[in-house]
Amino acid sequence: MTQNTSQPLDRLCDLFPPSRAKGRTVNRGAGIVFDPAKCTGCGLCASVCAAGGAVGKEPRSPRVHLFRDAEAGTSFAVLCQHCLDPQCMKACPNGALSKGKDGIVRMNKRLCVNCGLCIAACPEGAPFRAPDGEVVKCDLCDGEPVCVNACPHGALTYTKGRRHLWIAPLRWLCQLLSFLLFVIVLVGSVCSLNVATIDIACPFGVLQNVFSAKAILLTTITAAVLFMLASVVFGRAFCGWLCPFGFVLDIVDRVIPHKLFRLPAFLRNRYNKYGVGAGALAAASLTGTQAFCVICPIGGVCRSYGLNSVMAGAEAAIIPATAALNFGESRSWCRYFCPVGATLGLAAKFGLVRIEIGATRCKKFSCMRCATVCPMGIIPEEQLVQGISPQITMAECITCLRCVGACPHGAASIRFIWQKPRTRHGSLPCVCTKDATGEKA
Amino acid sequence: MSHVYHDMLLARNAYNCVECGKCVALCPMAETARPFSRNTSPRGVVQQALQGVTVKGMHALTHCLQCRSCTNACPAGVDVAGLIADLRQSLDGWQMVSCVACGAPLLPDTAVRYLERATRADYEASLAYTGLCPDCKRRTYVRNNR
Repeated sequence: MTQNTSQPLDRLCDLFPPSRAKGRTVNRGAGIVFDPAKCTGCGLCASVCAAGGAVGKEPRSPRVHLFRDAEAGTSFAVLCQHCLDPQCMKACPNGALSKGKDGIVRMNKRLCVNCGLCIAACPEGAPFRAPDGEVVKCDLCDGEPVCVNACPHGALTYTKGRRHLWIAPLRWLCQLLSFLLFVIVLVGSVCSLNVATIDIACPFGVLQNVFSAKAILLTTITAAVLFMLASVVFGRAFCGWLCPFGFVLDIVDRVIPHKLFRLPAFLRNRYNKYGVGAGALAAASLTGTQAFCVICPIGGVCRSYGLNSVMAGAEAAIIPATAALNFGESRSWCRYFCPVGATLGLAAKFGLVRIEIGATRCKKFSCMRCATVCPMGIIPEEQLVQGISPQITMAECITCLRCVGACPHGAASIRFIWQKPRTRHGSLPCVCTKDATGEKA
Repeated sequence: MSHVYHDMLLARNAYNCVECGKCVALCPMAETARPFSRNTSPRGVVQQALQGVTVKGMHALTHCLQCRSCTNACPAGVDVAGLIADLRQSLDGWQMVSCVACGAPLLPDTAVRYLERATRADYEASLAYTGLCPDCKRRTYVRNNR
């Protein structure tokens, strides 16, 4: 017995080692992903689970249950998601539930007293109470789930979790290169850039030009339209992948990831950036100058490096101040204030690209990695907690693809507008009564 | 000897109780209804009933989860959970927290508070699934995800 004698034995579970899983720690989510579109409702998963996967074994109560919806004509398998942060584990008064190093949440039947508090704590009610009163729970058959092998339609897939690990390095490289090229090599070039014969200009700068000069110049307009067209195709990818100030903000976020303060509520309004934009345009038309460009941190970063000087004049105050907003929430400037991002967001709103979170592969409340990793904070955790696939507002999304890279189940994906959405967006969590939907199989 | 709960005790074999305490060792009330005292335990209920204590005095009645682990464990064959269920019938003005959708009795309020204590720490937003019985919870989950 290797008990720490300084801590008294509080519960019976302290006598037992926490996990018998071998190997290195896997903090990618192991589990079974269910695809309702492929399920025909044959119920083979439950039968095979009840048989224990082997001929000649004593039948047991199944760990997976199939619910049939008579109205919709669909079936749904309810089974343990092996959450990253299992509620059942916290709720169990006896410590019978533990998450192994392989990510599997196991129930130790020597400690379980079948009290059913895990069923009450689980958001989907995945531990089941057998007719004889015993509480049973999926243990993924120790990594070789029989239901997955048995499903004839491929509706169940066993996943150890996968991630697109190449996205993050690619994005950082892209941001670094754009910072080096646009800011240090070609000073002041994000605002207006000449590549061979093509002019590309900041669309908000062009808007200000139009308002200040009160005349529409065709050359600048085409330069802005190119930028907007790029946003229509790629979303606000400029903000996530190219913007030099966004790069600065991302670095600030890496250096100080802890959130030090909370912005006041009236500043945390995503329509603020449209207000800032409108105000800047009004100022531009009144003063006849490009009013916002003087304080624009993106242009400021471009002007502040290289041959000219390092942060001279207004930039010395503006850039640190706007970057410090990041201590409150990551990319606060981009979320709430940046009129350039707002202009691009208007294009991205009607864009061809959608980021889809959820779909059938999403494990929702059991994971929520996308919500924690999103720098713009547009993936609502509270919807995921309630098992709903959230809809992403593309005007707010900077298409940094952090969610796509972080999702272990391939549930966050890029979809084009002509592709059929794989997600059924629930608006409100509906609470179903017994007679409202089909009966248990 | 005539006894207040004689019929109940007889039907549930409560006179067989040998006070071994196996039910006490298993009872989840130890966590959900702290402090776990002598009387706030399955054995306490049986002993109090044998002594003729009024149901108002049996605190364990309002905490029991009806998991039946005490009944299954009892070497003397006392149906403790059944006895508690019987005694609850005569307990006025108390009922279990029931499912918000179908109204089935769910958990005692102390267990609900225990669950909130144990799990709420991470979820500031209230869950859509709290307050539902397991069947309604599964139905809701299926409805929201299919």
